[in-house]
Amino acid sequence: MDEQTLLQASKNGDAEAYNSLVLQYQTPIYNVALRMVGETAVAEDITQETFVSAYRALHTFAAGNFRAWLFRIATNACRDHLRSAHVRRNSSLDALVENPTFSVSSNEESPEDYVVRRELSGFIQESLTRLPEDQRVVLILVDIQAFSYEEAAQILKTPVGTVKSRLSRAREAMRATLSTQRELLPGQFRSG
Amino acid sequence: MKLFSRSSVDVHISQEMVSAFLDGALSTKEMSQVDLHMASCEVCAQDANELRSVISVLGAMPTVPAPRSFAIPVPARAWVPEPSRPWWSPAPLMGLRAAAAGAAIALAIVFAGDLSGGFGSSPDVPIQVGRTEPAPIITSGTPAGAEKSLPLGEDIVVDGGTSAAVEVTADTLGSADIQPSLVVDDGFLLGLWPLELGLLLLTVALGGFNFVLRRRSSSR
Repeated sequence: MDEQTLLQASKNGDAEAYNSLVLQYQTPIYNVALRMVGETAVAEDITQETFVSAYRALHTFAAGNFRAWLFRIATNACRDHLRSAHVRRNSSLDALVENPTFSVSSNEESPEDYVVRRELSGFIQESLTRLPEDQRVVLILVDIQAFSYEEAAQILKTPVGTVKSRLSRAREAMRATLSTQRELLPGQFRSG
Repeated sequence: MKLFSRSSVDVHISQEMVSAFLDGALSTKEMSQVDLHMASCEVCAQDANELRSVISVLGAMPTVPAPRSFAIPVPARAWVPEPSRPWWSPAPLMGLRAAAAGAAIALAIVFAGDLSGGFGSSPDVPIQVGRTEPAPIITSGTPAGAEKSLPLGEDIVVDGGTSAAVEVTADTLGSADIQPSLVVDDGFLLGLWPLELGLLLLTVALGGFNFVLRRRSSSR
């Protein structure tokens, strides 16, 4: 079944149809949440909250881009979490390096490369969490999740021009941060 | 969007423009202007290369698989309309069963009351004494002189609830004993039989219906 059919069935109370949509989107939603908050347990909570909230609010979704609507709920949940008083603003780099979600490896990769890549992932995540929220979310949506400017603007309910400027500032900040750890970066970046 | 930004002495392409240029998000005219400038400006070209590397590094971030299914839990389906139950489902059957039992009990009460003559206002055994005679005097098993008067038309209740009619005639008058003759009083039964028959039919009908529906219900 295509997305529109599943969506209509979900609106009519078909939980199985809705769960098909959940399976389709749970990984990208979880990844956005994970990059936004930097903690797996919190990202899980936010992902679950996103799907439950979306399920409850399905009747308010008239038409349009369901994907953008779902990611808007997720990014709002991330922002709510980050703004709450109980959040640790700065995640520990050590904790992120130890995080099993960054232990992706391949058979062709040498142990040294694997360690460097894992450290790089942890460092990028650390750099992301230091960005201002409005820049971070744009960077995650466009550069990591590969959303277009227009779709990111739709998710964030901001003009495309705002997305462009925030993205530019976020990239610039990331460049400044990553340049301090050139030994972790690919050769192209080190030559600079 | 400003195409160029002035830094110290040289004029360079703005960061926002470089960023949009790398995403191909400029107009054709702007793209060619930036291209032209970068061909002659090492600073801007270097900026673009570094920014391209940042984008490349970010894009290469691994996708982390979802650690579990986030499908909504089963209780969330509570609001989904339940399939309609057949009218012979257990709840209506209970009512039917109760109705059949009630009819059976009512039948038993009426029938028992009928047999025992327990309905108060009805005459038990009509004894018509000297239908045409004036009020006789009956002496029953008592010595002469111990008389018992019985007004005309009054009934006698014989022990054991047996319906009995004692016909007192001129011959019996004045005799020492009256020998009652047992006869079935069908007058009262005739009065209640429609009710008894109706209750019997109702009980049988409800019981049978209940039996059939229970079989259908259990076979589903």
